[in-house]
Amino acid sequence: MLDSRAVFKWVLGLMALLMQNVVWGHEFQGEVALRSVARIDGDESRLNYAGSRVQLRYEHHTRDFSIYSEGRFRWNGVFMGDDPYSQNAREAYEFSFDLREAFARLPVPGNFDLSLGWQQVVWGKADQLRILDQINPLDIREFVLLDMKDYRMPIPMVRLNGMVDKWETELLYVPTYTPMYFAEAGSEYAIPLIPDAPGLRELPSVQYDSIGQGASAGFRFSRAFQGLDIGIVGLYARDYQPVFSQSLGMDADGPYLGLREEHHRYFMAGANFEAPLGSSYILRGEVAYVPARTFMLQGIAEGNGLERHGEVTAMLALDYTYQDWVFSTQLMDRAIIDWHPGMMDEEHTPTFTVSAQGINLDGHLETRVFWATMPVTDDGSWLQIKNTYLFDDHWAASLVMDFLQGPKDGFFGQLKDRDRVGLEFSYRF
Amino acid sequence: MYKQLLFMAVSASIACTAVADPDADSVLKAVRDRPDGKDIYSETRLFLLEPGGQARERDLIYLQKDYPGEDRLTLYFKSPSDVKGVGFQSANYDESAGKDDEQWLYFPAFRQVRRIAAGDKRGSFMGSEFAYIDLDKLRVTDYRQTVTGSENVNGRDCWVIERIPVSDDIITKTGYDKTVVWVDKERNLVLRQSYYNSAGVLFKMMDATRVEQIQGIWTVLESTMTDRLSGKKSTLQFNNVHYDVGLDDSMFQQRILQAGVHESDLPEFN
Repeated sequence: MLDSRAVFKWVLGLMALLMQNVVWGHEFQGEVALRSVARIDGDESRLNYAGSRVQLRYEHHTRDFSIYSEGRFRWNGVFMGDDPYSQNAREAYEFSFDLREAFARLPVPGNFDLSLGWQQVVWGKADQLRILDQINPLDIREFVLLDMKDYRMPIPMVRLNGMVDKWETELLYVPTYTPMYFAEAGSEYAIPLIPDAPGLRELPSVQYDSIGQGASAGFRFSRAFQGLDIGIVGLYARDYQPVFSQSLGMDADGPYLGLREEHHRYFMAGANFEAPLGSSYILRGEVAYVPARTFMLQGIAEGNGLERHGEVTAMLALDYTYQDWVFSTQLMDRAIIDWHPGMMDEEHTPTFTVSAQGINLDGHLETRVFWATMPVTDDGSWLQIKNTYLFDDHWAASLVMDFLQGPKDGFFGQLKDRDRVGLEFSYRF
Repeated sequence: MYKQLLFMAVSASIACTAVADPDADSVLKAVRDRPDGKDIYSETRLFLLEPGGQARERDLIYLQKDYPGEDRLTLYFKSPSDVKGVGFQSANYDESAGKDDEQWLYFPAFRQVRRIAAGDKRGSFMGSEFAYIDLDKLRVTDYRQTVTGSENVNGRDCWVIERIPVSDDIITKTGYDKTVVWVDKERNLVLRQSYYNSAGVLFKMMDATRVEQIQGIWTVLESTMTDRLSGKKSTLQFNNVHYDVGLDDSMFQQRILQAGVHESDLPEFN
């Protein structure tokens, strides 16, 4: 088991060395940050993060190969001593280390590159929404409140990239299944997947440890064509979103409904485009079609309370550029084919986002405002305001505010009492 | 007396005819079309200087290649760390094609290549006083231009040409209601350019501060853009410039933005 404290000391020592520009022909860069985040909710306000983050990146490039690696170390002092969070949360989050990527890239004949190792791959052109961006699982210990780049989890894969005629071509193979990481029970953003109710039992979840059970594969072709950027993708994978098969059982306490976490396979075919519209507008679109995805039923009508249906997810977005600002709107809908009222999911789940991102004060202030809402399904809304002041090329300060609203059983509303404000000072080298 | 005056008038007329100002369009077409190699490699440094003395630097790799009817540009930022890995690509079409340029940007943190609107190029290039439009190839038909005279710039005899955008779309795209360019008569290089806003105020000035001949091609190796209102300056320095190095087409495909441009990807120079 990795001793996080030892790693932290090693990292501090290495940073001191690297900051002296001892390069040895290799490229190092990194970031050190002090961060504090507080929940702002009246009587329940509290500090939920007071600590640091160290991120180190290493690259090495030769004519025969390239190496990319990046790791992140986080310490949260809020979990020292007595606090309202669970022992599980304390152990998981006081010190944590995670890899952001670690892979080698080698040229192969035919003007292709082969990448092997832990990688993050982003398909599609959406902002903070996942339509085609389905390769990597997510670490949602802080819900969806971070930039997705900060909570997308790298996974081991083999990737082949190159040009076939005028098409940029990508083939990838992921040998193992890595589940999504949900926040530890008893932590700030813990969301129980199974309600704590009498008569419900969580059964041991299905594991997908073997290559045959966990592997996934995909392809992407993209090109610029007649002023348009287009992409076509296909992916055969195991769903990161869990479904729970249902079974009736009996124990000493009486009858119960057993719920077992499962992740079923699916195939996705998708496409995306980006097109200029006039002088300052860009139109973006994405669509993903899954012929058969597993959904949960309300109660056990037949079998195990699960059913397969087709699903279409589509997004249309418009970006407007005005000098150093970009304003974007996105409208996404997830529709279930042959939906019926016995299903737990809604037939349509539209999501609407609006964002503004720009630079002020002669390039020193970066501002982003992002608002997402799911009004039709009454899932609430999320507003994020982020300002980052760049003192120079190394020092920066960020202020982030998140506001969540909606009914308590809605996607955003379930954390409506977790509005927060965060401050971070960082040094990049 | 009358014959002397007539003689002087005829002489003056002949003199004027002999040194009549050229057509401004022709001068600028010569600038636009002057030979600049089939491709260009440069290690480029962008200095951002603030009135208080604070300076910031950005290092990037500059790659450009001619294709039929267009030229393609790839910029890849190497330092400092907050911009390392940022990539920019553009396809600049010949004016005769009548097509808007295309631009893409890659931020390594987001791992997406995104198209950006090329119709509004007023935005600042990486926080500098250079706007995106200032990096574009000179376009002749977007303006009505007139030669207003000659001046000496850094010891070079130059045509002074006033340029007025032909439409509001061009003003929206560039942010300039008028520009004046000083063109080296012999070398067909722009050595100075001034920019005016809608109030007729001269608010920005570009000076080519270092020009050398590289492989037979006169090249601006350093240019400085000064914001006359704030006093801020930015300098673009082109170092280790090489023409006709045989840059591979892969340097101008979108995937290079994600993989990054490294010395190991480039031809070896003598």
